[in-house]
Amino acid sequence: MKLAMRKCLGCGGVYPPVQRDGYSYYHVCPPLRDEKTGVETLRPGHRDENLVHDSAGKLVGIVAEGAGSEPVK
Amino acid sequence: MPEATRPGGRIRVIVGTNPAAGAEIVETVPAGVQWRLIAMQAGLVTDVTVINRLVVLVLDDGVNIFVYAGSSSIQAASQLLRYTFGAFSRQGDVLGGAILCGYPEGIVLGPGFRFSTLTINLQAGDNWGPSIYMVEEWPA
Repeated sequence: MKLAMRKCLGCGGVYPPVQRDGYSYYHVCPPLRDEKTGVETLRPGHRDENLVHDSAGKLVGIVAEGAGSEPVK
Repeated sequence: MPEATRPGGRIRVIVGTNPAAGAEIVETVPAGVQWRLIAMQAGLVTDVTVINRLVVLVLDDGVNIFVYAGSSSIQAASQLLRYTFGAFSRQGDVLGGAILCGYPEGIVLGPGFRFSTLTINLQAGDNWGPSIYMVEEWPA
């Protein structure tokens, strides 16, 4: 079975949102790292697909939509 | 009982993000789970820039790094090397384009913790493939 893939429009990474075992994969963009200082900053369009729930446990969205993502054909 | 030996963990093999050229692999433990990283492998294709790259696996809690686990071999220009990180007691030489790299055993990563590559002298045209990793997973 070939995994359906998506491309993050923030970092350009390609990933399978659903794994072979049926569990979701939550893409997070890698930060930008300053080579000299090692300091990390969020890249423009930073996307974080980890889920956010409200205090009642209801799903309200993802951590950061960022630049979005698109299916890879 | 140490966290890493708790019974009932689910063994999973996960295909991570294939980063764009010039970017490192960074995988984040999702909300709601804990992972024990059993092994991780990924390939690095280097561009034509003549400089030696050295790959380090970094574990952090999202901010603070608590493990640097480096390769024992450098990677030159225009090469594909496939790195396998795990709790090995030995560091491997490059053999058939593959190399074993060890890190401390039994480390449990909580939600938001990360494991990532840190490639010394990574060039804009160097390209990591997707990481594929095996974890033992528990609810956080």
